[in-house]
Formats: sequence, C-alpha cells, structure tokens
Amino acid sequence: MPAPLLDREFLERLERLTIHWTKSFAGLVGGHNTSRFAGAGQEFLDHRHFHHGDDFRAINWRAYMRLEKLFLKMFQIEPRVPVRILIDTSSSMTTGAGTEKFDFARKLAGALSYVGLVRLEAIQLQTFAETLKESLSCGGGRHRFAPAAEFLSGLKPGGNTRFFSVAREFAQAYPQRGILILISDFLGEDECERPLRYLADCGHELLLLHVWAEEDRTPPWSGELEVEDIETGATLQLSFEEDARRLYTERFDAYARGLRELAIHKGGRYLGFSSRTSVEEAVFGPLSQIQAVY
Amino acid sequence: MFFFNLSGAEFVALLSAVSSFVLLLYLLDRSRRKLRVATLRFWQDSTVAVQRQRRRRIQQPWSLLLQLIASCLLLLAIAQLRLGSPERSWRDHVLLVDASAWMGARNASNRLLMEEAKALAVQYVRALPSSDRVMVVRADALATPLTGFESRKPVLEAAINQLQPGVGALNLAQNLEFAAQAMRLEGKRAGEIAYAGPGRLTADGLRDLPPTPRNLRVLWVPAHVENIGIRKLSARRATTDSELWQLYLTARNYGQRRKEAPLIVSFGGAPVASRLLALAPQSEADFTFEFRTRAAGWLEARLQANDSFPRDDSATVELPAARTLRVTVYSPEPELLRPLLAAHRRLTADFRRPNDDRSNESADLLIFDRCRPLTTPKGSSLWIEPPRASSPIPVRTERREITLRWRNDQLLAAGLRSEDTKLESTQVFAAAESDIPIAEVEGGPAIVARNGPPKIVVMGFHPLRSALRYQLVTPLLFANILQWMAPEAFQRIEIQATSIGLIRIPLLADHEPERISVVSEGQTSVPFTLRDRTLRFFSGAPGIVRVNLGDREVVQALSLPEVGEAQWEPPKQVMRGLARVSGGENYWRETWHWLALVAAFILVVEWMLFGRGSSRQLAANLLRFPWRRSRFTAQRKAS
Repeated sequence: MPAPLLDREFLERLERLTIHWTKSFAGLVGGHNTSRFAGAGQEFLDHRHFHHGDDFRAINWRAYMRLEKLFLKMFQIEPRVPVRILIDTSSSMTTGAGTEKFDFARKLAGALSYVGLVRLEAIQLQTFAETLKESLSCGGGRHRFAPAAEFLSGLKPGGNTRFFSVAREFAQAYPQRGILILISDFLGEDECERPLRYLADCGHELLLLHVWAEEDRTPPWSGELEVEDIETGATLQLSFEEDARRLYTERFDAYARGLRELAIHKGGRYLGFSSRTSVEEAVFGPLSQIQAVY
Repeated sequence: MFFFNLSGAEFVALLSAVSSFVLLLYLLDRSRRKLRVATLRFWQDSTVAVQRQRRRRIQQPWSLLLQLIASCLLLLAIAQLRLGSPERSWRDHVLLVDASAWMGARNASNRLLMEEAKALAVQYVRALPSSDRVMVVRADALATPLTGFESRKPVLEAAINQLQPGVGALNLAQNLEFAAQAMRLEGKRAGEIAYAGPGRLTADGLRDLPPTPRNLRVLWVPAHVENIGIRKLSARRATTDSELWQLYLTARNYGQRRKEAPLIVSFGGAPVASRLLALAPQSEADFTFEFRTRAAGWLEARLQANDSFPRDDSATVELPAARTLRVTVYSPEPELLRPLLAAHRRLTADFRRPNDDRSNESADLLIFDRCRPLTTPKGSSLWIEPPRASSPIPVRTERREITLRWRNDQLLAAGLRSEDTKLESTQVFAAAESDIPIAEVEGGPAIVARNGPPKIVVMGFHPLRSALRYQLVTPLLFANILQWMAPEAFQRIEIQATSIGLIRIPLLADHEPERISVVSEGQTSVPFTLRDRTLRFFSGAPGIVRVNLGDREVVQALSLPEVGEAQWEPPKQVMRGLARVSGGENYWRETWHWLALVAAFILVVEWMLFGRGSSRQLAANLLRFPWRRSRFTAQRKAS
C-alpha cells in the first residue's frame, strides 16, 4: 500500500488554516472576503424598483400591498472565488536527489488543496508541461480530499515546459478570475516572466511558489563537466570551478528575485523553497508569514 | 646510496609505470563528467564552454606534482633506499663451533666446554650486523654445516644451541679448509672465519695444520682440564691357549700433574683384574692383563679417575666364545689319523668304525677313510681313498708307481713342498673345471677340492699310508684343507676398543688387497688403504667395524671418544674475542620508513588541498595560479 500523500497529523493541523488573497473579485466570494455585489443568494442585501425583465419571485409583495409600488428584493450573491493550483509536471521537476522536487511540489499542492476544501473553496488542480494537462475539480469539504490526493499521487513528471502556451490555454480555459497558485521551478524552454505577467493582467492573483533542488541553485560538481538540459537535450561542455559556482548561484538568485518582483508588481506574492524543506515547515512558515494561509 | 630491493633499472621502470598510471588516473579523474540538469540557463551565464581538444589538459598541476612525488617516495621506500656503500652491505662469515669429544669436559667452574663455546658463538652472532650472513659449522673430525649462509639470527642461534659434544677429535685443518671453500664458493663478500673452542687437536692434526687464514677469529674457550683416560683397549687370544685372553690397555694423562687412578677390569660384571695406574703429566702408558675364559661376554675396563672428562674412563668390548671344530672320522684304522687331529687345540675328533650308526651326526666336518657314507653328507667332508663306485668326484683311473706334484699355484697347496714323492698307487680323478687340484700325477689330479656348498676334498691316496707319512708336508696338507673347509674355526680374533677417526691396523705380513675386507655393522664396505704394511680407514661415527685379514679378524669397537692430546696455540696475528666486531651496527642507514612517512604526509596534504569536499575551497585559495585567475576574470567580463 503506497504511503499517503500527507499524514493525518499534518492534515489536522491544516484544518485551522484558510487561504487568503488580497484582490477583490467582483461577484465572487470565498474565504473570509465578503462580496460587495448583489445577486442570487441567501442573505438580504437591499430593495430597488422593479424594472421590466426582473424576476417576479424577487418582488416584495408585502411592500406592494402597503405602498402599491413594486419593489424588488436584492440578495447578496455568494459565488466562490476559484482557487486554481497549477502544478508543474515537466521533466525539470525530476532533477535533484530522486524526485524530491516533484514530491515537494505535489505535497504542497495537496496541503493547499486540503486547506481550501476545509473552507469549502472550489479547488481546481491543474497540471501543465508543454500545455495544460489533466486536471481535477473538487470542493465541498474535507471529505473530498481523497480524490485530490489520489490525483496528485498519480501524477507522472515528463515533457518540456512552455509557459507561453500554458498561459494562453489557461486564459482561455479559465476566463473567470481567481487566485492562481503556481507551483513550479519556473525553468523551461522559454522565459516565464511574460506569460506570468499576462496571467496577472487577466485578473488572476498570482501566488508563485518557486521550488528548486539544492543542485539547481548550487551545483556540487566541479572540474570538466558536460551538462545536458533534461528537457531539451541540449548539452554544454564547460570547466566548472568555485568561481563559476558562485556566479551560478548569483544568477539563480537573481532569477528568483526577478520572479518575486514580478509577482509583487502584479499584486501577487512569491515564495521560494528548497526541495529539502518539509512541506509542514513551508506551510506554517513562509506561507503563513506572507499571509497566504493562516 | 643504493637500493636493497631493486636495481636501478627496475626502479626506473617501476617509477615510469607508476607515474604513467598516476597520470592516467589523474586525467581520468579530471575527464569531463556528464550531468543532467534542469536548465542550461545559469550554466551558460556563469561559465565559458571549453573546447574539446583542451579536454586533457592538466587542471591541477600541483596535485599531479604532489602525487608523483609521493609515488616516487613510496617507490624509494619499497626499493629500500639505503645511505651507505653497497660494497659493504653485508659480509659472509663461517662460524666453526668446536663439537669434538673434548667439549664434553667440564672446566673449573663445572661447566661444559660445549656450553662455553655455544655462549661465545651466540654472542658473536648477536654482535654481527643484522644483514651479515653466517654459516654455522659443527667442527669435529669432520666439518658439518648446520646452516647455509643465513642472516636470520634466531635460526643461527637455534643451530648453535642444538650442538652437542661428539666423539671425534677436532680436525682443525679440514674445518678451516671447508670454511675457506664455502666462503669461496657460496659466500658473496668474504667475512671472517670464526672458531669457537679450546683448540684441542690430535698430534697429527697439529702437525698437518696449514697456515692460519688471515680472516680467522678465535673465540677462545679456556680449558684447563685435568683428565686421565683410556685411549685403547685390545683383547686377543693367546696363540698357545685358546682359553687365554691377553688384554692390552693404553691410558693417557692429559693433565699437567702426575695422576694415579685404579683400573678395574671386569668380565660379565665380575672383576678379573685390577691395577693402580700412575701416569706422568702429558704421558701415555701401555698395560697388559691376562685372564682365562671360554665363554662369551662383555669385558669392561674402568678407570676410577673421577676427573672432568668421564667419557674416556671406561672401555667395553664383547668377547666371543672359544670355538672348536668338531670332526667325525670314519676309519678302519683310527690310529693313523688320531695323532694328526689331536695336535690342534681348536679341533675335537670323534673316531668311529665305518659301519657305525651315522644318523645323529652333528659334526662340522666328516672324514671318510677308505669307506663310503650310507647317505650323502650335507656338510663338508674329506674323502681319503674313497671306493671307486661311491667317490663324490668320479675316479678316472688308478696309477701305480708314479710321482706326485703339488699345485703350489693354488691356495690350498700353499707352502707344500716335497722332494720327488713316488706313490705306490693312487686314484686319478676326473675333475671338473671348477674343481681345485691340490696335487696331481701324470694323467690327472690325485687330490681335488670342490668348492661347495658343501665343500668336498678327495684324496686318491692315503698320506699316512704312503711315502708322505713321515714328511712335514702331510700335517701342512691337512692344516690347509681344514682351514679351507672351516676357516672361522682357525681364524684369530683381535678385538679393540678405540676411538673414531683414522684407524691404523699394522699387518704382520703382506696381504693381497682382494683378500681383505673392512665392513661396518650394517655389512657395508668401508674404504681402506694399504701402505707400509698398515691398513688405514676412517670412521666418523661410533660403531663396530670388522677387518677381515684372512687368517686374522680385527674387530674395532669404536666407542671411545677421540681426545686430542695436543694444544693448538693460535698465532698472534689472529683476531681474538668479540672486541673488534662492530656492535650490531649496519654499514648503512635505512631510509625507507622516513620516505614512507614523507610520502604519506604529502598524500594527506594533497588530499586536503585537492580532494573532494570542503578542502577544495582551501586549495582554490591557496594554490590558484595567476593565469587561472585572469582567465576567470576574463570570463566574467565576457559574460
């Protein structure tokens, strides 16, 4: 019997958390953010004059009997803010020691899914590599977590990452704005800044969770190396020494800083994790500190 | 400076091989490693791709240099580099440890001389440099090597400690010659010939001593031993009385003081003679005794000297029983042969009538006088005028009035002389080719001997009834025939207890070498020489050697220790003692352990500086070449 994606104790600790976002989404509710828009709902919001075409069921007949004017009762709408979790399943997620980077990514996705499910959020788990791949919609409580965990456990990494096509497909597939949690190493054939900017411009609130293996950030090797891109197969022969290693790490950190600045600039948030970080530490640490979940 | 384990060519060859191997490993270790990474983006930004043709260039020359130096030092350690002269790397010595009989004597401190010699020999071996090789030789009458040229001191000491005093005297000349020859043939660098002992030699050994070798060292064992001992004990039967034994004993006083000691001779445990021997210092004396017995038994002569060397205080010989020849004579006229056969003490004759019962005959010899046996005799027999039909050798014819001639060329007719003897009648025999004619007449032999078994002699006439009756040739003829038929009954036996080594036996007359035999206890022949009427042979081990001289047998019981009567004084130029032997120091200085330590240190340093791990940073900081720094600077600028 395979090990569960997340253990029970950790799930119990997650139950007190809620996913928070900073943007307001018109007509949508979710989490602890109350909607300012009227619509179909249970909570009374206001009255207005009846206009042609309004729903007769919303007319306040008591007021008509008393005032002989048609007033329409308005209710606070309660559509849920979609929480979409994009998980990178490209080949680059398999570098490092074993599959610890990919495991970390899907465990983190599982933890966030569970937090959302407990708060009755509508969760969309969406994988991607060259394009969008399989997805799973779930919502309605903690008891719906089992399919989500099974879905995540069954994921197989592979393929190249093409952020442009992924962003384009995502914008078309999910026109409704919402919070977009992107779990990836942000390494692919093309750059990811412009696709991310595009998604933010579409109205999605970005929560970029950058996952890297230790060797992605600080390669431990030295000497004469022939490195091969695991996604494209391109090779590079080089002499790698301590100076080069330091320069490499600086470049990597600069890239991560660029992602962070992009996220903040677009009203989103960014967090970077080494794959050696435990998911529990990530959720109750950095994620709580930036008030993504708390 | 030289290598102990390797030659120069071997060292160079090994160094080349190891260096090539290290370089190969170095290049392999630094060959390009293939890796799969998530992206090439940061690699391209941080490094510059290198060209394939520069793949094998040396990246860390200091590391390679340190490894090569360490390898070279390790090889030098394996080759066992020594500081010094290879010509004096070791020497070969021959150590002669005296193990002669005299080494069984005790000195004034009641310690065996053998123990003193062994202690000196062990000290000598321990004092030698560890690489010197020594051959330990047991020196007594012979030179017996106990080891080859050996440098392992425990082996040498074990060989020395197993030495025990022998029974022979020291033959120093032979031992010195052996040592010189061993050093010449097997030794590579001649060292010393060391002799450990008191230098007690025989007079002949001292006389034949060659010039002392220049490299002789004497480890002197002082031996002021007062000793009186038996040198020889000899027993022989008296010629006139077969029951009388005559004993001859030779004793010697080896000491420096006049000495008296009682001598007791016992036979079968019973004393038969005693005498008080008084001997002047360094003198030798002979003593004679007589006693009578027919029985066999052990005769022991014991000196009650109570001196420091008890091994020569007693001598023992085994005396055989007196033996007689039993003769049965069948004759119609016994009176004819009786005086002749009664003349010899070792012969007993039983006279019977020709028709007597012959079933219980146990005689050694049968004589048929003009008669024939009822059954063919199984033993030796003498036939006198046998009946023509029953003669053991066919009768060809009979002759009368014919002259007899003796065949003096035959052993049986040796010494037989007579003037023209005319026989009235005689039988002439048809002798076979292997038969021995003793006397013959015209037409054939008249007396014939046939070598058995059984031995047969046939006479065609009766000597005591013929013209030979009153001639001297008749008893001589019978004596020759009886001695030929039963030689052991007439052989004279002389028994001597003496020491091993060179044995000399004086001969009474010239003997033909083919009639002499010298055999040991195991019936193996012992080589001997005959010169100046003296038989000489050498025996290196105790035992019994029988010398058969035909009419005489000498039994040598080699049981007495051979003690040298002469004292050898080493010349003044001979090295003495252990004083000049270098005190265990070598002729060179070993460096292999220092070389190994330095090599290990270099390897550790190399590993710390260039090994994989945290020390890599240290190496990069400490041993970065200026040109490499500039290369990285250029790369940064380019990126």
